[in-house]
This record gives sequence, structure tokens and C-alpha cells, in this order.
Amino acid sequence: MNIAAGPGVRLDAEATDALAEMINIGSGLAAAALSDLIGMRIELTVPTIRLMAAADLAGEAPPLSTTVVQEFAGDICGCAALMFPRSSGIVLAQLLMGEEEARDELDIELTGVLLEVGNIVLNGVLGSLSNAIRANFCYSVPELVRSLTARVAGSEETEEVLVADVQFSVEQKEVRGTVVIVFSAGSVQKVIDSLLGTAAE
Amino acid sequence: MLHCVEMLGAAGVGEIFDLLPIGVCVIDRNLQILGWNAKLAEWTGLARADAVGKGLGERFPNVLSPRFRMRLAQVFSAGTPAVFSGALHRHFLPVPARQGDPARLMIQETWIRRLRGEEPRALITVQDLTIEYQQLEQLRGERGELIRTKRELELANHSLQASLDLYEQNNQRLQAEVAERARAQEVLRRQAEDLVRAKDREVEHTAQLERLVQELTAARQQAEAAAQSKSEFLANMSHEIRTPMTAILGYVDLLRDQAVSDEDRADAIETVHRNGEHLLTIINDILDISKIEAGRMTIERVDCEVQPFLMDVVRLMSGRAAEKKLELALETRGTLPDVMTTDPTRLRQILVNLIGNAIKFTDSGSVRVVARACRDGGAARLQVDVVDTGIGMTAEQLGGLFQAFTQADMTMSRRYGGTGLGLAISRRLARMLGGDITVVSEPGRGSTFTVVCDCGAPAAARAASSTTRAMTAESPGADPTPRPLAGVHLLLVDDTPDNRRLLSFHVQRQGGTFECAENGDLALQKLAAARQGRPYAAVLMDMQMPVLDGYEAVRRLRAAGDRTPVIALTAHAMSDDRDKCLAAGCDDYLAKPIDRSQLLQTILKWSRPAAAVAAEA
Repeated sequence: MNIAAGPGVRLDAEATDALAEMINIGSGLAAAALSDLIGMRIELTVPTIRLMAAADLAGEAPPLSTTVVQEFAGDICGCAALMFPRSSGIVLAQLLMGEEEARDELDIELTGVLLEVGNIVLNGVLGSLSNAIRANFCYSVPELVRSLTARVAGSEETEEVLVADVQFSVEQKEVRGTVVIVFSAGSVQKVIDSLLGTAAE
Repeated sequence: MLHCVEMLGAAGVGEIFDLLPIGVCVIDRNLQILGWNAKLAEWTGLARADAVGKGLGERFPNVLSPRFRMRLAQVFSAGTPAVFSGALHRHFLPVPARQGDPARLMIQETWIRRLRGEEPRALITVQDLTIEYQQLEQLRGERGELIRTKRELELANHSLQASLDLYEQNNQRLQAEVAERARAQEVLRRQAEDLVRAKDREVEHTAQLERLVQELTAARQQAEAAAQSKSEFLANMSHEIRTPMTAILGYVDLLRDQAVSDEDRADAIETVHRNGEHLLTIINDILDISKIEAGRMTIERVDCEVQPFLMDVVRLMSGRAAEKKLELALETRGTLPDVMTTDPTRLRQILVNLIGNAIKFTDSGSVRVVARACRDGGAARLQVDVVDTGIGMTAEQLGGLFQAFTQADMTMSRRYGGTGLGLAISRRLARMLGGDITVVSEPGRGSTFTVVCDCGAPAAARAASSTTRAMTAESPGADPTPRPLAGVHLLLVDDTPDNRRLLSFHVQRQGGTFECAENGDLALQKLAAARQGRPYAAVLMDMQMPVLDGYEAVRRLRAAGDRTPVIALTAHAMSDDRDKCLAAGCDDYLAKPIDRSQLLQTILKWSRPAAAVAAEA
């Protein structure tokens, strides 16, 4: 697993591993939940994690993407998002619904599915995060947005963004998406400190 | 236990709670129903009073199914919200659909989130998405339809395109075929043209062939006609010859009889003579026409004085005219040339024939010979009209006039005498003289025969040669002086005894004396002897003789210096024959058969008077 370091946060191997493990745990939980849901074996893998500045996020978001956003607040604040390129989203939704015939419209049925998938995945990841910092969050309901960057651009406090590429494997088919956790300034360090047990009191 | 309903109701929130168009329910950690809004009551048929305080799982057991249970628990444990989509779950609380088929269940999207506060409570919101899903279904159907239609249209378009391409191909093929056909038509058209031309040529050839056939047929017919007429001629001529011959032989036979009276004898002699002359005429005519037909008739060109020549001819015929008490006269119109270049013998023959005919066919009146000069282009011509007041001829008779051997001609010749060949010969001769004979006639009034001939370029006025001169018309049988040959001693040379006898008879009758020789050799001997003794006044020499013919005899005689006059007697009447005789050394010649008066004239002309001879000796 690669972690690309962005400005502002020093990432050593330990921190890297800690963050990676956190995400993996979360995605693992999500995978289990999804498997139960659809009665098919789903695997969630996270090949890459990157840390970048909020300004750089624009480059990450693929055009015509479907994004589920869930905000969290507590000791640290931010929002988590699951991003799919439109076509990938459709494929995944249809896979989960067991539909054979490929569709090219993201209608309310499919968006409903993606919303639920986003909910499950982000719950997993955020749940893992809350465990990591041993604190509880308040969550917003998941929301489908057009553009994460637009959503994020309004906030001034954001500083760091954790970007994780996720890969859904369902029945020999694979769908790629992106998990993005947008942290308010200084939050990432707190998380790392918590993970590594070096909390600043 | 707090009564949420009252709590909510007291705050005014209860009214809002019930007015919300979505189903709202509040539960605790144990899924105990703490709140139940009016919408839920409506959908489920479970009144609030009945719902609150009851376990959600009791009333709706499916909420306890694994798909919901863990995540519900998570809501309370982690505080994370849960979304149950209509697509993956269909419903959270199974209730009948509000619209459409009540057998179907409502499709719901359910949200569950933890409420703030010490107490673990969760808010469940249920949204009715049945209509939306129905609409979606419909839309999908329509969309599917559209897509199918689109695909069908695409297919149709594709096949249409394929058809169009096919049509295009076929069209191009048709074009090619049309072009090919046009080319083929063009070829056919040209072939047809060629055929038409060939046919035209064929037609032409056929026409040509037909013409040829016609020409050949005509030629054959002509040849047949000619052969026919030749046969006719031969038949006629053999008849014409046999008739006088029969008379001659018959009457001669009669003359053998001693018992015949003098009167009969005289009559017989007369008849024989007449028939003999007629036979001679026929033979001459036959020979002439044969020569002309064979193209062997030659025309000579000698100068002759016109006026004397014409007068001679007229004089020649005056006897015959006088016999029939007809007037015969020569008239001239305008100036005649002094001399003309022609064949006088033949021209005379023509004029004698025409005048003879005129006399023959005129019973009373006159025969006028009208001569004039005329020009044809640049050539000088002599025109002679023989005008008679005779019986004339019909147009039909005129038509067959110049043709020899026609039936009508034969009848006429038998009635009027003559050979029937005269006019045919005359016309041919006239044409050979550079002119022609034409005739106009009126039955009962008379005929006019016109002969035209070339005069030729006038040469120096020379006297005509000897043979055209001194043709005086004499009545037959009239001697100028009795015994004119008295004292004339002649040598008669002829190989034929009959001829010798005839000649000697003539000479004796005229008062002359003679000696005979059978051939040229004997003649020379006699002449040699005569030179010593009594010389001859003249020699009458037959030119065709065996042993030594006349020509050689005369040559030798002249070579010997003997100048005795020799008069050649020859059967040939050609001018070149005459020249031959003269060249050999003869002084004159007579053509057989010998005319008695001519013979006398010639002898008198050449014989030396006995006195002169005696003087020489």
C-alpha cells in the first residue's frame, strides 16, 4: 500500500500503516455488510491511499461522477464521500440488483442503490475512524451530490484530504470507486496520533 | 416512560408530525414504538393508539430479518444512519400500495437515524416511492420501446441502405446492360444497313443480269433473224438462180431440135439471152451483197467530172425509159462541183439501180434526176434525187424497202423483175461512199429516192480515168457501121473452147478475121511468127490460163519488144485487177462476160489500121 504524502502532514511508515489499517478495517466491515445484503460475495480492496490538499481534490474527481456524501462531526469534523464514475456506478448498482441488461441511465432505482452502498461503505469507514480516535461522531444522512469539490470548496476549514481508491469485486466483475475523507484542519494529525497512541492532550 | 406523543403534541410538533407526507416512526433500542404518525397509521392500518408501546418487530416481523437487524443495531451502537433503498429491499414495512393494484406492496425508501439525546432513540422515515418506481417502470418500458424502435429503425435503415445499394448495383448493371444493348443495337443497325446495301447491290446485279439476258436474247434473236433471213435469202436466191437456168437449159434443149421453126428458134434464142442476162445480174448482185456483208467490198477514190458522169448515167438509162415511153431528164439545182472524189463504179451502180427502179415502177409520166451540191458540216456532198410519177409505196412497203430478202420484196421482184437485192446493195454502197439513201413516197403519186454521198476534197481538175469515159447508151443490137472489123486480124487467146468460139463468132460477125491460141505459150509462138509474117491488129488475151497465163505472156511479149496491142479479158472486175493487167503490159481490159458492143469499141480503139501495120512491117 502506497501513501503519498501531501504538504502539512508528515507521514512516516507507522502512520501510513495505521491509516491503511483503519481504512481496511472499515472496508472489510462494509464488504461483509454488502455481502449479507445482496446474498453474493463481495470483496472490497483498497489498493491505494493518498493524502492531499483540498485544492488538489478537483483533479481527482472524474467527470460525470456519482458521489454519496456523509458528514461527520465530533472531536474532528469533516465529510466522507464515495465517488464513482457514472458508468461504474451504474454497473455496480446493476450488479448488486442482479440485473443483466446494461443500462445507461442513472435513475432513482440505481441512485437509491448507490446511496445505500455509499451509506454502508462510509458507515464502515467512519465507524472505523471513530473507533480509532475513541470518540463518537454525529453523522448526517447520506446525500447524493453531483460534485464533491463544489461541496467542499465552500468550506474554509478543510485542509487535508484522504483519498482511497477502492475496488469492488462482485462475481468476477470489478468496479472501481474512490473513498474521500475530507478532514478539517489538523484533524488528520489527531487521527494519526490516536491511531499511534500518541495523543496530544 | 415519556409519552412522546404528548411531548410532541404539546410542542405543536405533533401537528407537523401528522401532516408529514411520509411515514414517521420513533423507536427505542429495543425496537419499541415510541411514536407513530398519522401517515403510517393510514398506510399500515395500525392506529397510533394501537402502535405505540408495542414492539415494531411484533407487528412487522420482517424488520427483524438479517438484512435490517445488524444495521439497525449499528444505528444505536455507532450512531451511523441507515438507508434502505427501494431497489434492494422493496419495503421496510410491508403495506399495500396506495395506488394501482392493491395486491402489490408499497415500495419504500427507509431512513433510520439516531436522535440526539441521552435516551437511545431512532427516527424511522418511510417514503412511498411506488408511483416513482411505477413511472420508472413505465419510462423504462417506453425507453426500451424507443430503443427497440430505434434499433428496428436502424435495422430497417440498414436493410434499406442495403436495398438501396442493391438497387444502385442493379441500376448500374441495368445501365451497363442498356449501354450494351445500345451498342448491340448500333451494331445491328449497321449490319442492317450493310444488308440493305448488299440487297440493293444484289437488286442492281439482278437488274444488270436481266438486262444482259435481255441483250443476249435480243442478240440471239437478231442472230436467229439474221440466220433466218440468210436461209430465206439462200432459198430465194437458189430459186432465183434456178428459174432462169431452167429456162436457159430448157430453151437450149429446144434449140437442139432441128425441126423447130425459125420463129420458135428466134424466140428461144431471145429467151435464152434474156434469161442469161438476168442470171448474170442475179449472180453479180449476190456476189456484191456477199462481198459487202463480208466487209470485203472496197471503195476506191478517184476523181471524176461530175456533170459528164451524171449525163453518162442518164444516157445509159434513156433506152429503157424510151421503151416505156417515159420522160427521163437530168436537172441541176445551183452550182455543182466540177470534180468529185468518189468511186464512180459504185456510184453509177447506185444511180442505175435507183433510176432503173423508177422506170420499172412508173407506167406513165416522168423520171427526173435532180442533182445539187450540199454541205454537211464542213463536208461537201452531192445530192441526187430520183423523182418518179410511179405507183408509189405505202408506209408498210417503205418499212421493208432496204432490207434484203424480205418476202414483200420477193413478190415485187417477181412481178416487176429485178433481184430484190438492188436497194439493199445500193444503200450499203451509199453508206460506204459517206452518205445514205432515203425515200419519200405517196401511193399512186410517185416516189422520190435521194442519194447523198461525199464529194471529197476537190483535187486538181483531172479528167476521169479511162473506164468512166465513153459509156454511151446504145440500143442493143444497133451497130454504128456494118462490118466495122473488116481487115482487122486478131489473135484470140483463151483456154476455154466455148469462149474461143464465142469470141470468134463475134469477130466474124463484125467482119474481122482471127486466129486462136489455147494458152499463153502458143500465143507467144504465134505472135513471134506474126512478127515475121502478118502481124495482128490486136490480141484478145484471157488472163487466167494454164501453162502460161495472160500476165506472164504479156510481160514476155513486151520484154520481146512486141508492141502489139493486148486487150485483157478477165473475169475479175476490180480496179486493182485492171491495174494488174495494165502493169503487165496490156493496153486495155474487158470484164467478162464480154459485152459485144464494148468489145467492138475496144478493138476498134486499139487495133492498128492494116495500112499502118503494113507500113511498119
